[in-house]
Amino acid sequence: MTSSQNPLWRFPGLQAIIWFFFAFLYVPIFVLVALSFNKNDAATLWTGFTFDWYRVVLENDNIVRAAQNSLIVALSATAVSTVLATAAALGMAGRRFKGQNVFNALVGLPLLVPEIVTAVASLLFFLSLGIPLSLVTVIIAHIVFCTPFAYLPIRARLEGLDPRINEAAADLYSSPLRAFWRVTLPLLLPGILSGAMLAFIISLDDFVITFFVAGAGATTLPVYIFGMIRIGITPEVNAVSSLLLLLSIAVVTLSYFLGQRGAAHSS
Amino acid sequence: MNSSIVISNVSVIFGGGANAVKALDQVSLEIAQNEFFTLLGPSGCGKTTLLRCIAGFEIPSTGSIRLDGVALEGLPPFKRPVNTVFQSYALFPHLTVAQNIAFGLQERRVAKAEIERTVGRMLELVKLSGYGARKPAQLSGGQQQRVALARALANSPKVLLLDESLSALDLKLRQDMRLELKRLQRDTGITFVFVTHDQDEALTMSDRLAVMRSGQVAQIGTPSQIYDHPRSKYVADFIGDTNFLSGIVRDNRLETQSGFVPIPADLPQGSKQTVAVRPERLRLVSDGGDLRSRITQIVYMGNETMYHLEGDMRVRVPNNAGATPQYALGAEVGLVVPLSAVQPLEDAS
Repeated sequence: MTSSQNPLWRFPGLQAIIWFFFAFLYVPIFVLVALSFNKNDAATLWTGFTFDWYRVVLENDNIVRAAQNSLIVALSATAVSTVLATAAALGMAGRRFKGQNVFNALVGLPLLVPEIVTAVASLLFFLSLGIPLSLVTVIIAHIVFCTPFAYLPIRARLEGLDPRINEAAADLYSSPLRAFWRVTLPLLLPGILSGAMLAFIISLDDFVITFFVAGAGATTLPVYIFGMIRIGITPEVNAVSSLLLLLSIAVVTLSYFLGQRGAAHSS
Repeated sequence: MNSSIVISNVSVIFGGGANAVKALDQVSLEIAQNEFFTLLGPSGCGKTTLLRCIAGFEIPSTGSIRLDGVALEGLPPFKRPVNTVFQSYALFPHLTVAQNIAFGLQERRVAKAEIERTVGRMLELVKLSGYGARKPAQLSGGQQQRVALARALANSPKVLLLDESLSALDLKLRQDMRLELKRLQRDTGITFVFVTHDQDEALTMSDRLAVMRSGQVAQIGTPSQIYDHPRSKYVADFIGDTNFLSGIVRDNRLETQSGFVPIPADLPQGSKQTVAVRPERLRLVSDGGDLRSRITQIVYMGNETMYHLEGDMRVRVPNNAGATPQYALGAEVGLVVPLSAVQPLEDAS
């Protein structure tokens, strides 16, 4: 796209709008990260550089436990939802049946349902079944809402594959199981990895649903940060948030490069 | 005939109830050992379905397919001693060329050293030595096509199935690959079953071909049998360019609107009859001729000239440097119809 072809580029004040947009998006994050290195504990006044707040965070048992919980939840939810999503995508591939569109819509619907609705519904579900709230209920809830996120890239990848590839494997003496291991799975792997990364990030960041279905001692990092904020914004909050941001960026970057490699394969 | 494949009464029905479609309708044919056999027809005629029945990707609703005397019923594709070259090639994009070619041999647990030897031999056979370490995406369409061939041939199948395998290539490459395929078939001695909608491919490569129409075999024969002696209007029309002349049989001649055409002696007197005559078998003359007509269009085509005549007739005249007289648009001309060029048709009257 060049400026001469797209008339939108000649819209007056466009540059200012773009700058404003990006500033609004990224300046707060930049300020948050910067303030996490601020010596002054009145979070808004810069008085010097320090790593102290990170030390404070790592020495705070509650934060460390919340981080552990977050990782346990995210890793379990990612593992289970990715397997479920892969199975669903494989089951949906290469066939047409009545109600297929309904199925697709039902798989994707959780992406559109307001999170607070899912949160309340999940809470009611657990309570009505008499399941005590704990880390397990958090994991179950996370598996449920992570599955559609994992499903989308896997399904997209699968639809991009030549349907004759499986027949080619069968033609070359591969039983269905062998064909899956030697052909389908390796070709699907980039999609599965991006699906898993997406599920991981979504689970790690989730606040609303977790807040509702977490039992005592099942506090995750976002929920803990929310608790800290209610007392006041301290550099400690900034430091925890920055660490969470760093982890998210690392996972997203990894997912991006794995996706690139996958795209290079199939072109 | 030393038959490699015997197909008897094979029907394939897709869907059920009111929407059921007969993709194949009681097809029977035999394919000889080491034969280059072509299934020719327009899309939807069932040729690919028949190929997929042999490969095992479709299960016939009725009938049987035998390969070297062994019934294939109940054998899944991965247990059949046939290999397929797919229209889209269906190469494994995550494997190298060499790994693609080795795939079938590995699945059959052939010894490593022998796999290496075979892969080398196959790369040589399809003229891709030195390309073994590349990925399919790094090859041109023609090269991918040859990898697909090598991958199938590496397993020394009893039968090689080719599904519209040349249609994705451009014209020049396609013509080269025709010769290449024919050479491979002769060199390997493997039975080739080739599916195409391209009559030129069918005529130039096949030992025999079957022309198919809506799930049935319209005619089977050698290319010259099919081209020179089409039995039906459908076959005559599908293969090459044809003039159809209709009239009444009188005194061993066909009385048409524009004159009398000689016909074989065994046709019943007084019956309505249609015959097919290839445009290149007709001869234009100024005076006389069996038929009289008028030139309505002249199309210069380089090596020959196509004259369109009144009464929906076409004559092709080779352009050999002034040896043939030129006719003007609108001129009245005579047509000489040799008896040997006249092919009576069974189905049309």
